[in-house]
Amino acid sequence: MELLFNVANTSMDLILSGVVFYTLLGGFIGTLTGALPGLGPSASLALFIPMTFSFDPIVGMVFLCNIYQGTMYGGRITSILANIPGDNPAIVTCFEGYPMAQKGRAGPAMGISGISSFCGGIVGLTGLMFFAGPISNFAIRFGPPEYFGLMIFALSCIGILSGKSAIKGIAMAALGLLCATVGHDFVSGSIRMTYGIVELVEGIDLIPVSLGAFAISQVMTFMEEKQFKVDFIKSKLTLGNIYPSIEELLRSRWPIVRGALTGFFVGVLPGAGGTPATFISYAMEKKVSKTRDKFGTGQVEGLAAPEAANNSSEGGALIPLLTLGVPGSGGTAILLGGLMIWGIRPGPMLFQQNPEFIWYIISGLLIGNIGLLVLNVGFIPLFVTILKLVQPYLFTTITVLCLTGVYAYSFSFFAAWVMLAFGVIGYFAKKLGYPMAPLVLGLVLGPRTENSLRQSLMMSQGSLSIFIQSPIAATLIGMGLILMIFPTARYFFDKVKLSFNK
Amino acid sequence: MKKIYAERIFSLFLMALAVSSYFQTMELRNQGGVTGLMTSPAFFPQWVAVLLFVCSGVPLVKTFFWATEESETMAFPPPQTIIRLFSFLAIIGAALLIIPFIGWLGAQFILVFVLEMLFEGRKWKHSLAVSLGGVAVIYIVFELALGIPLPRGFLE
Repeated sequence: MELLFNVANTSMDLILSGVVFYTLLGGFIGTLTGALPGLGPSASLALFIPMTFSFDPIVGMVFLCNIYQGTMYGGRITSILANIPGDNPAIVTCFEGYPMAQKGRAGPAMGISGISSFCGGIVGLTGLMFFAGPISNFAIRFGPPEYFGLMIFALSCIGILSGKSAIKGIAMAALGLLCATVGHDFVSGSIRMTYGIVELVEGIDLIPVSLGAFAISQVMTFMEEKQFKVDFIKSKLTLGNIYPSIEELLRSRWPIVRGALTGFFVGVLPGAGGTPATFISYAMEKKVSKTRDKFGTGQVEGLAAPEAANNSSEGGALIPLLTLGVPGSGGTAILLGGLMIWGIRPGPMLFQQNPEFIWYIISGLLIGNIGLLVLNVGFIPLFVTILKLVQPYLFTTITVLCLTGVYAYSFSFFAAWVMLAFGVIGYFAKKLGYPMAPLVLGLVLGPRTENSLRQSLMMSQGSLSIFIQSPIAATLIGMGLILMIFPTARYFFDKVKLSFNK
Repeated sequence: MKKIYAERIFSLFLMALAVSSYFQTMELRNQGGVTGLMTSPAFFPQWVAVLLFVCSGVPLVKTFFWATEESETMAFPPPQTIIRLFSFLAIIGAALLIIPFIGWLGAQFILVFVLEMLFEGRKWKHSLAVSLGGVAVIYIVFELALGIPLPRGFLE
């Protein structure tokens, strides 16, 4: 009852204070940017975070979280209407959504996916409400060794789950950690790895790196085509024909439940996020379906489950972010960066000292979810029209937004050069299968990882046994090392076995 | 360039970065106080550099011993496209360099105009209209709505 009271109270506050405008605006922007192929939640958040620095922290956070939530909805628009996923989690939506559109059922596909996304979002936020408190109470007992273990586990997870190659993911995480050590060391006062560049004494900031790695590199990918164009399927999308039939809704109900629960628990894992949630959910739905032979031809079950999983994973991903201060994905890493810029340190102490901040975020997301359902079911033709108008100017729009945004963040031209440098690195890295999310996560978690390590070693007078003496730290570090070593060891073992067999 | 060669170059780049970082922090090893190296400012970056070196070295080794069919595919688009991409970056760089002289809005106007004419292939009137519109949006959103002062160049 107390949980519902907190939600009701903070929701009323948001509505009466006018902050609800920012929830809807964030949702609208997130849907549009999520629909643009290649941008995704990380790039969308990186683009708009510089604009929020003058906002109140609650307003800014609610705005950004709704952008994040909106991208979960938006990714499906181009998946269904053009067979081009708006972001990675929307890849699976193409499997059933586009065939439905090809059969003239684009409207009901948009309707089913919107309703599934809404239900998934509600499940995710409900899970966040119920589990966040107990997890943060447990995390109060964490000291420096436990936090170090948690960082190692989180970095290992995101390293191996972010891309096809685990070793490349861990390499990017290591690069991010290394970038985090550049500049002034706050413990000893030493200057590290600035290579004589004065501006690097302040370190390498998250915003220029995120904008470069996600947005500028994506613009460069867009520019490989002389003219970037998304061909939307010709389909009549009006208010009258976007609703699925009763039979389709009934067929979707259990896939939505299964997808939402899968998405939530997968989303809680650091590094997992929406993409693995949608793939796991789709595979599971195909396995349990009586019509699995028809998957790939426009089955509503195959559309509903991953959409629910995608949106539910958002609530799951917010749990480690808010309760432990460990982001679960590139997008939540940027949200963490935003919180730190506002001077808010997420973790168990946030629940103790400032619990209403968490409730405002949850309420903002709940209100935003309702708004997104209305926008994404009733106003789809508007989004399609806007996308068709904007896409010829996509390169220049994103470029100008990135440049102005990075300057607005730091009032420094050097940050713009850093952004361009990481744009180039990001472009070439993505071509070779190196994921960018671990780089950003390493940059965000680097200072905390190092501080936890040094504090632990100071406590133990330099002895590493402190990490073994703590069962939580030992378990987390052990799991992290297994995650790091196992995929590569198995790869080499398989290769050697193959060579012997030949 | 084939993927196999691109992989090697990128791996070597990361390994060089790791080696450079390792040696850059050598002089800080003695600043750990009573607890020595473990709590010095060099310990963490050096271990991370070793991790980066090893993780970058594994893909490099794989290209020599376990190359796949995918390794023979082209990693990057044709040279003309790469030149186009670097021209794009050069134009942004030039825009950054002229900001202290003509201000942020002036530089963005020229940047958008050049990008629209050269990269989107639009006629000059259309590009002019887009540039003016873009500058107006930046001014309204950043200066007026968000209150972020943008450099004015000579006008300051």
